[in-house]
Amino acid sequence: MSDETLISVRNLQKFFPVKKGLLRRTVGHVRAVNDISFDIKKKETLGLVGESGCGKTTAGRSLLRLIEPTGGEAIYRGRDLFKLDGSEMRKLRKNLQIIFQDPYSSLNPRMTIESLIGEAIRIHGLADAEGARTQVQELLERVGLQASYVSRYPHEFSGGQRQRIGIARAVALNPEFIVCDEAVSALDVSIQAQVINLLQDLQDEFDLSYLFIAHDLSVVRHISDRIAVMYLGRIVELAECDEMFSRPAHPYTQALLSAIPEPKPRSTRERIILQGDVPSPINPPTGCAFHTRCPAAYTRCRQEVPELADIGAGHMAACHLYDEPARAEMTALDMHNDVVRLVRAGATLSKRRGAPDTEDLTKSPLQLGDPSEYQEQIDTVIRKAKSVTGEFPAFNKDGAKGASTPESSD
Amino acid sequence: MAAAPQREYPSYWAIVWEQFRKQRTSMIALYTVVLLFVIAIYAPVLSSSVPFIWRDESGLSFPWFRSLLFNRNLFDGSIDIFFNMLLVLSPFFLVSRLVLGRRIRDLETRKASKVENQHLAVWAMILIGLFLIMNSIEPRVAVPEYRELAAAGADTFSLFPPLRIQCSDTLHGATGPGLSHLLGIDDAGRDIFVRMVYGTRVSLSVGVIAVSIYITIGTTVGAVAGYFGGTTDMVAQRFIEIFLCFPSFFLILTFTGFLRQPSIIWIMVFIGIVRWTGPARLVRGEFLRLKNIDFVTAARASGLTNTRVIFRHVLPNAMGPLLVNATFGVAAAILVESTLSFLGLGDPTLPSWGRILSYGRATGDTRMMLIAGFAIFVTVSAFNLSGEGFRDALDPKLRR
Ligand SMILES: Nc1ncnc2c1ncn2[C@@H]1O[C@H](COP(=O)(O)OP(=O)(O)OP(=O)(O)O)[C@@H](O)[C@H]1O
Ligand code: SF4
Ligand SMILES: [Mg+2]
Repeated sequence: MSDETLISVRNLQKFFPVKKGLLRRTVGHVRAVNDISFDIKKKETLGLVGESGCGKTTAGRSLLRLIEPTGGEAIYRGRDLFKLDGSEMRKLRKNLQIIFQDPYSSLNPRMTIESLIGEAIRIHGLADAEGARTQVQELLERVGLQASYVSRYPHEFSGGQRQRIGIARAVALNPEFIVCDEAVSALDVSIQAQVINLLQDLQDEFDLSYLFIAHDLSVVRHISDRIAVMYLGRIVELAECDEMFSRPAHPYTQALLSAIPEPKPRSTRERIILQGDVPSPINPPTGCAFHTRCPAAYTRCRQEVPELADIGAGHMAACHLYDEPARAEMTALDMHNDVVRLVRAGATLSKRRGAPDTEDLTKSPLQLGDPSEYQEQIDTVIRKAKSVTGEFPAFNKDGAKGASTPESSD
Repeated sequence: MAAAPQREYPSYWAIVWEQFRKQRTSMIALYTVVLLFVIAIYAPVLSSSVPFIWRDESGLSFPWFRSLLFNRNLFDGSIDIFFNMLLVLSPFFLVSRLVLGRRIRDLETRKASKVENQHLAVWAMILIGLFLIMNSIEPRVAVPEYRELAAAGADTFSLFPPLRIQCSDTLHGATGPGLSHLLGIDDAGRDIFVRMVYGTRVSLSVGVIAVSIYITIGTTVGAVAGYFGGTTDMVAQRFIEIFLCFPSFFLILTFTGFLRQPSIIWIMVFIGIVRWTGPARLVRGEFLRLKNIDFVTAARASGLTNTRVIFRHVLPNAMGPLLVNATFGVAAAILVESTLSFLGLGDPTLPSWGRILSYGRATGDTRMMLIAGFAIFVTVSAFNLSGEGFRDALDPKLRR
């Protein structure tokens, strides 16, 4: 991975019109991708995760203009991809490739493997028919298949083999950037690892950059340099891979992380189960789109859209908690984490002890208004929680400014 | 292991064909269809009033070969021209199959070796040369006179087709079925067998040409509507719906009613412009399904042009249902032509089965009606059963 930017995406938007009635009038829009910005660096893997339907595929495809984006720009080699005309874009396409999720629908059943992979090589004038055949054979061997497969048809191969063929097709044109759209999700776990290793080897060999899309954080952890988390068409958090896993900032990311099974059985970490369903992208919630399910939501969340902002050392998050003035006093991240955990821990403990009067602690989200109120509320919550549980669960104090964390002020 | 011979891997169509072959009824139907085409194409070899070879005091000539393509006025004899063309081209086809054999499939990878291409070229040159030489000899006898001259002249050598009959001949004096008139003659003195044989040409050409016309229109409209979507799609769909409001057979009846003398070409065109909505909807649906399928997206992502994506990736995958539709369409078109001819709205210059049927009815000749009716029945069923066979062979659920 280098620091040079390969593609920089700004304010990418893709709205699908929702049409109704005989005249097919547009009655609204699915905001599948709602104003996202990110950079992809040379030789880097950027992981893109989020629940099903949050717009990952749409983001990847509109970036490559396989779907025409509604707005924004994508600067590649000093030019905006979205402003190129058809033939200019076609020429650039050999540098920008894609690998699909479904190994069955991604290979044309009427073509031999040779024409499937070799077609584009010939169209772009990279080789003649004879040369293309040799190249296809080499590619097949490179992705771990036999060179003699060239004259076969896709229906003779298993899912894993087909995915390798899809990968061979993507690297055939010697691209710089590949969108891997859930490239391993459809495969068996054992084959997943092999394919991921293959992708990493190819990355080293051909200096590739990946946008690696997955719906599950554990898959991208292994391969990504940086990770972007999407929720309802927006990026809510973007950070270096290790940073994301050790200090997740956004409540949504925390929930996603808590859903990954922990290798250590005695872990104190708690599973955060998100309430409710993903809201419709046709009418996304006002303010922070996550406020309908966020355990830490408060008034401001319903009114204002949080911007994706640097919360320290390049860690980007879109959450009001990190924008509060109280941040001056303590690491908002820690404060927030602590409060949320405290409340939940208290509730869990008290529930276990059969105390019904603590229900409201989990039910009503924190109401955080101005700074003083904020502090006051936290104190109240802590007091309440303490009165119920009589003790605090252990906290992870990494990076916390000890003196100002709530529990140490007690 | 290393020296293992390269096995031929079946393509999609090879699998479909394998599947088709397992169905006996459909195979019989397909053989029938092939037989009908053979009869239609080689009709002049069986019966013609012009000899293959003719030699008299002025020298040697080959009037039959010449009559195939040059002795008719193009528009009136267009059906015969069409089949005679196939007749002339069929040796090339056979030679190419024999010489190139199974290698034809490799043309995709430009692998057909040069030697074999040269073979084909040599053969083609020989055939074309022969045909040109045969045609360059100007015959000195007018077409209708060959038979009389052959019957009278002892100093001529001639080689005629087995039946020296033209289907428009009126042979008064001849009687019921016999060796020279296999199915007898009708009231007007025409040989029924020869008319039935040439009637195959009428039915099959109506079927094939009318269906080609509407498949072309329908595929174009459907492909554009489905692939580009949006306003184009909406306009196309409304247009199709308007067309669907009219019952197609009555539309054809009305159109032919306007012609002073209905010609077969117009009947084909009418069937073509009335029936295109079916394949248009079919192809539109297939294109809607296929245009967002991953391998089409992959093709676009590789930087292929729209034209190439459509012709190489989308259309071949929509071909199956289209083939089924076309096969049923041929049967339907043959039926439409027969009906029109039966109603007296067909082309009066042609020996159509529908006309033979109606003539048999008018003259009270039941045998003639049965023969014509049977031919129509067999042909229509053969196409329908082949169509059903293709449909089942294409259905992946019924496979294996
Ligand atoms: N062609 C389309 N027309 C209308 N809506 C669409 C279209 N494609 C996607 N959407 C909508 O856009 C939203 C985002 O879809 P997208 O496929 O990008 O999600 P995703 O994150 O890739 O989900 P998954 O994990 O299921 O692949 C969804 O709500 C989907 O219904
Ligand atoms: S902005 Fe509010 S609702 Fe959104 S994640 Fe942050 S705390 Fe939750
Ligand atoms: Mg997706």
